[in-house]
Amino acid sequence: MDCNCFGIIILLVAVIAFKRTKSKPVDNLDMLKQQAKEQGNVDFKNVINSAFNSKQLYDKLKVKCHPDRFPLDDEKNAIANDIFQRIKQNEHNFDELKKLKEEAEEKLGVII
Amino acid sequence: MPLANLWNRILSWFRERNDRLQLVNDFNMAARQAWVAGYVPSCLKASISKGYSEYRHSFSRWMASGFRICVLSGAQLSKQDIKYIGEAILSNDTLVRQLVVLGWDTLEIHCDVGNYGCRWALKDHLRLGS
Repeated sequence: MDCNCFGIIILLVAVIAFKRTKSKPVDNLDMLKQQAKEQGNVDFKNVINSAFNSKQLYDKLKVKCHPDRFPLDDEKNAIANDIFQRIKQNEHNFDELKKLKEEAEEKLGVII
Repeated sequence: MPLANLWNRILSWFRERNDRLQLVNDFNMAARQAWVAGYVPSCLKASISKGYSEYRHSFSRWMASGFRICVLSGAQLSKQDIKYIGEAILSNDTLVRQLVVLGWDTLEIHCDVGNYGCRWALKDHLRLGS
């Protein structure tokens, strides 16, 4: 029984020693940690909202703000083009989509 | 010197462990509040799982490298819905970076009902240099 315990301990020490010998790129990890810190805390509320609510809003926005809906007005067409690009970039970001909705309602005069 | 190094490693291990638990707790708290307030139709519950060995990266933890999210919906969600939840989580660069630096390598999402789910390798969604 004691022999078994001793064997297990030796095995564990060997595994830990083996893990330690593998060098990790610490500089990269530090860089990533720094970047993650600089970006601040995660907005979990937005993440959770985006997981369930962004799809509906995205579908509405991409239809209402499509540049092809403003073929005669060059100015509105350019604005719609810009908003449409940003909508596509923020497909999974509910907060950004809400801001874009307000912007579209104000600048393009659409009701969403 | 090696003793100090070992001590630093022990401290670092505990600090990281605390950070991991903090992140899971923050996620669960936000999910709970959103569900109670009626913003979302289902409650999400995050936990730490074993992870998937093929998704390992340089910063992966030896064990417990999976970030598992259980969708408490009471019914089996379609694969499309599960994928959409996963994409919403993976599109948040800050969250993905936090997960990677804290030793997670796999994101798993499944429902409380049914027997299938989806998993993603976090390293594939780490947009470095952006």
